Amino acid sequence: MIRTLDASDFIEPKKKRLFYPDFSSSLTNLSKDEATSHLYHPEVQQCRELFGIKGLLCKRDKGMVVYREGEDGNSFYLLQKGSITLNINQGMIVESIKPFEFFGVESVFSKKWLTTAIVNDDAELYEFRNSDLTNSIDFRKGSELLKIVEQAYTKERLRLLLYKISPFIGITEDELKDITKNIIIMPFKKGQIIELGQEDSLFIVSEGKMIPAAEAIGSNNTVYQYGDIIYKPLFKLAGEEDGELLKLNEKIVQRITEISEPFKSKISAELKKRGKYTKPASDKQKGAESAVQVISEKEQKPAAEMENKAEIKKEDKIERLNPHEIRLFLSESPVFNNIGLEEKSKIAKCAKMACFDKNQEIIKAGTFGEGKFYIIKKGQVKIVKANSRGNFITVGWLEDGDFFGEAPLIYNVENGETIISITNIEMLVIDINSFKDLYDYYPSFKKALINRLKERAKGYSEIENNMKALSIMNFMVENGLTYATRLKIYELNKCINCFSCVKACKARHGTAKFRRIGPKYSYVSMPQSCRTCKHPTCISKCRKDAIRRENDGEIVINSNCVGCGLCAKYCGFGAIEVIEAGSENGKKKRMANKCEHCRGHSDCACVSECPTGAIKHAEPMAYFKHFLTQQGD
Amino acid sequence: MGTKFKINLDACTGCGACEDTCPEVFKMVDEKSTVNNETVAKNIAAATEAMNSCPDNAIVSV
Repeated sequence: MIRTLDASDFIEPKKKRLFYPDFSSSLTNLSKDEATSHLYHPEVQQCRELFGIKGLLCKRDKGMVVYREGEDGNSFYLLQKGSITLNINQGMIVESIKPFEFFGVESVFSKKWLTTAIVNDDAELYEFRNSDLTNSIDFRKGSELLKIVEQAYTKERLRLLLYKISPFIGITEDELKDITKNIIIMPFKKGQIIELGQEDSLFIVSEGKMIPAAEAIGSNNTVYQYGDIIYKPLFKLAGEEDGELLKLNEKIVQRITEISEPFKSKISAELKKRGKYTKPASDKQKGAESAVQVISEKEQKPAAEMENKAEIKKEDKIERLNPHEIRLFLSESPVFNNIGLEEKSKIAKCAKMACFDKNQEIIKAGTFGEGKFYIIKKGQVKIVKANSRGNFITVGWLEDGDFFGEAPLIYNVENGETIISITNIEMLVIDINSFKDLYDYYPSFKKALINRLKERAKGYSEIENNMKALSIMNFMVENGLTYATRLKIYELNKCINCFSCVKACKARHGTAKFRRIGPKYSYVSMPQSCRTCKHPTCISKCRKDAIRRENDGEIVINSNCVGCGLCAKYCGFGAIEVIEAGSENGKKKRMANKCEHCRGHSDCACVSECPTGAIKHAEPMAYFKHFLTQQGD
Repeated sequence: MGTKFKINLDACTGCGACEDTCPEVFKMVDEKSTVNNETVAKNIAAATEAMNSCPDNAIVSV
């Protein structure tokens, strides 16, 4: 916080009229020490007035939460005693509050708390109501208190903004504090044109929106908004909405470039994008066209050097992650949950994130790869091996928390398996040097790896000579059963084609929520019905939040569905259909329709109505294991 | 058929289906669809498909 209050504020109430306690006269002639001791006077602690606004004293014990990130805020606080930490992203500490500092001030402006305040040491604090502040003083002109609050807010918000922009992730707290000190805030209004100049400054939009001014070359509809970085501006920008622009000067930019790798790459990408705007023929003297700031040759040189340094090809998508998030993920992963905190921190430090789409080859058998070690964060991959006849067969799959790409790094041999993604996946990527450090110097990491590899080798040897198991594995991977959690299954040897399952579904829900066609394995058939995927592709596409996963794992469609059909389009199994569901205000209402496994009922209509017990709901892994032993009998 | 499109903002529910089908022409701004008519000529097939796929028939060709 920018402004701290100390005892001296109370000694000269006429000059620095910060506090107006009822007995202010008694404080007037006190020395600094005496005034300090009076702050803790029992009378003062009951209630305190700050510019005519009453603050209520609250006591909070260690570990309590004062307010939470994202909740609606209606008050701000002044800490009197103890200490408080402000956290974002569930545990990342951004600030520790000392006595006589304000916190929670963002709620005055944004009506929401942007951080979570947790009591670190038994605290006493004054709670001020925002409504009192806005009602009692001239809000716009700004009284002294508002100024202090505003300053505290600006600084707080700046820091939070920087924490959330990816290039700044990884910069230490001290350095970030330093950076925020030197930021210049440039407010702008709608329609106002701001000339950004030719210096090497860097601009970040912290509020509102900006677009390139109409007369500027390269006005390509780019809209700069919250968190966007503008480096080496070539044109004038016009405000599209009222907002603020932050200016980071040359020195800071240089320093961040030294510290932060992602920042460098982001800047070079920004410059590359800009590269296509060539020098306009006209010179500065030519009136209106001079709006376009020409890159001088001097400026171009360092820019080009920078690009070379941060040359990245495949890693365009790679970004640094929040270290706390990685640690959390690792402690939940079945493979790495037992490694020490130090190892987790080390991984968090050196890991980068990479994303791959469905059906992409990540590692090819018979090559050394790119010297990278992958940990799957979210998604699944299949392992394909060549058998003795030279055919490629799927021998298994890996999912969240598992790893691959270790063979060339540990044993210095070629990769024996091809790894192909079967869903969209997110992975942590560790380069060869960091991996060797981890493997050689952190025994618990090595142990975790070796244990898992042993487990895997055992699994392979079991499956490799068992043709039936292999064919089931292939079937499961090819048909996306590896990430299904609730599967409808027909056993065709029992089914008598009476369609009572479909009739029962229609009777209960009005429409049939599944179709009796789908892939078959031996006498088992899987109809087109929701499989409740582990990583569903349907949910993320909805703009209306009308499709979501409930606490019990079921994916349901809400009544606010507008029937656009995006979820149906992205469901790989044809499990969602758009149907007409009555009319609303004279318009036909369309809605997505899918099997919700008779949520809210005690049984599934299709299952309980089947006269022969041919239809079942099963967890695919368990079912196919059972199937395997049954067949072997 | 004309080569320009218009959005009936009252009918548009902001589902984003058009942007998904033809991102070159349609863009969602503040929960409503907007048209960039300059790029229609190049992407006429996708844009027409987006028009037909709109669940609220909010896209009209003019």
